[in-house]
Amino acid sequence: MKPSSYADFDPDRAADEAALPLALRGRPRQPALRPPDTAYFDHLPAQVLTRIRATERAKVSAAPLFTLPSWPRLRLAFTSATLSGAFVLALWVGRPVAPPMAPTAAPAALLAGISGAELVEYLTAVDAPRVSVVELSNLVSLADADLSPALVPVSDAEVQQALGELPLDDLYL
Amino acid sequence: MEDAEILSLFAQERHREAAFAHLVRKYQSRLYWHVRKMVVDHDEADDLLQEIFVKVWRALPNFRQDAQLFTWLYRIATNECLGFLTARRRKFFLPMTEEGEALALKLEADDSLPEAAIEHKLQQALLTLPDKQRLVFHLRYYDEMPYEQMAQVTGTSVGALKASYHHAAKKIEAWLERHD
Repeated sequence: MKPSSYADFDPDRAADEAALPLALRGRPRQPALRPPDTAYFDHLPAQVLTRIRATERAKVSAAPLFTLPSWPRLRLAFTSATLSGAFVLALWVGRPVAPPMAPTAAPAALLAGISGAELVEYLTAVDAPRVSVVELSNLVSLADADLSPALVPVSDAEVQQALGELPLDDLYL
Repeated sequence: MEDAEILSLFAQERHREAAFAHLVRKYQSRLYWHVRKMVVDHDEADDLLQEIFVKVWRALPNFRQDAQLFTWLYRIATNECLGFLTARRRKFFLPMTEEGEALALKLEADDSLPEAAIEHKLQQALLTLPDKQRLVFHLRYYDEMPYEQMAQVTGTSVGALKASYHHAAKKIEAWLERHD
């Protein structure tokens, strides 16, 4: 098992031999292990090459689609550019965006689609927001205005009825 | 085939496998016994040896020819053996003494030697040594490797290697006296 290239003369050999237990001195140096089958070493090179091919195939299939360049400066520049790009992208994505505007129809058209009874019911409902003082004052200021019936499709009688049903504590005017 | 010729062929893509097969054939026996003495069990030695050759295949393009190929191979094999033994000990939570006992159970003694031969006792005594000390003793006693080359293989100074060998010899002597 010794390589033939080892020097025949080894200056430390005598000292090392003397350090051994007496029973080991001058005996053939052979490990007391059962040798492998005689064919083992005949097949080993082929087995090793098979294993290498399998490992190489696995390495190729597991290789990443993209690897960083090997030149250190280029790698640093690439990493910096990637990080900067990611930062800018994060800023752009995270910017405050106004909520999308719902498509609006003309107020007159919206009101036209609601019956007077529904409006009155809404305004007089207990849990609905009541007509505020400001709204009432506006209503009074508009009393003489020529409101288009198309804008407020409510009859005068319905308006009067609704106003009459308002609770007294809202009628500060 | 000379090492230089193997390396030259390996550098050529179309001869790479043939060159590597030559390398394996040239060094397989010495590396096998180096590994086998450390891990004891043949199947484990076989698996580890093949893994070592796979690593050699990958690392060979980076081999600098300022070192001997054999020394370089031995160094890889040594590192792999020590790593394997450490990993096995961690895996089974084994203290070193118990691992020595476990390895002793795996000993497949050479039938050609008488059962009471001193070689059997030496093998058992060696299993009580720490991994690195056992490695040093193997390289020096069985392989008769010069200390300078051992220093290259193990990355340890010549003085430390000599001290380690002599400590190992004393421990073996004490073990043999206890089990006489």
